[in-house]
Amino acid sequence: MRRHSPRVFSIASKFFRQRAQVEDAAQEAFLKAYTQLSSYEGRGSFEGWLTRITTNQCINMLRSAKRRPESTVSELTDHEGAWLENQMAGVSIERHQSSERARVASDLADKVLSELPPEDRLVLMSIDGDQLLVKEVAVMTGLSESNVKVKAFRARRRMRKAVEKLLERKLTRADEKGR
Amino acid sequence: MRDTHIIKMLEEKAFDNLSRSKIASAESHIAGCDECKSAYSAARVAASLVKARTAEAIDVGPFFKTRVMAALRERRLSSEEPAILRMWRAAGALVSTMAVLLVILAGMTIFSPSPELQMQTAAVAASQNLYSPEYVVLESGDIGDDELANDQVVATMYDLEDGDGQ
Repeated sequence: MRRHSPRVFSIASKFFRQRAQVEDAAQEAFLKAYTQLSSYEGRGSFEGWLTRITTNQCINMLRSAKRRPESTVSELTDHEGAWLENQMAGVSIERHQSSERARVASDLADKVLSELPPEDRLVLMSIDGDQLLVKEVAVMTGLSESNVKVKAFRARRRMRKAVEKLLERKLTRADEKGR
Repeated sequence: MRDTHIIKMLEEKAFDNLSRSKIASAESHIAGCDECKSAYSAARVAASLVKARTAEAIDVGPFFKTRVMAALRERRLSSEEPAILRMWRAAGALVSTMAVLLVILAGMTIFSPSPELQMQTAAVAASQNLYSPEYVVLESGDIGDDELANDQVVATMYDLEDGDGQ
């Protein structure tokens, strides 16, 4: 468990931000792996098998959480608006790496990412965030490589469109304030 | 690139993985294309957001292993059959045998005659028994008229012998 916990936590962290949720997902993944150990046929790596269990567990938890009402991307905080302004002004993320700013960016990212289907989100974060190869993500998720590519393509498009809307809204609001 | 929109290129690859030459040609394209300009800005911001979110990872807590082991133990206990069933499986045969014996004994107690009736029955039986002790002790001397007493039998026998001798 000690050996595989970092990997399981890393995957669960892509789906959830609160420690309690991440630990719940990781715990369930380990319990499932333990009870279904006989179904592991040893064809692939154990890590890949465990990763798929964790991913499925997180997706299931996300789906059940989706049934509850949650905030939408339209509800931007002042900090998030300021972060977007900095981004549009071309201030690179490295220049505002303070923990507060990173948290704001992460909050906003979570809002936008929550609009994506869970698998698309995982694929996007793994390829664009963790810089994993398509092949690695395919092994991790159990999807085919072409399917991973399609999901990544689709996730980038949806993400870009969601951000475009945010930026437009931000510009409109700035114009209204200017008048 | 100037005549080709860059949106497809932005969606095919991670923004950070775009080569310098591609970024240069994209930037020259957006100078004259508003549609691609907003898409390019959005893709850049989206890439920053994904990076920021991915960088936020939660480490394994010190008590995580203990928590999982406790949950596993709890689940194993809850999935097992109740203690009463396990006890029944171990001692069921013995308990059943004892229960059957108890029922038999109870039945015998309930359906056997009462002590008073038993005494009455014994008395009746004794009164009807010709060879009861009372009969032998008290009534054995009373010989019927048509029966010979022992003395008469002996006397008769000696008389006969005497007659023969004479």
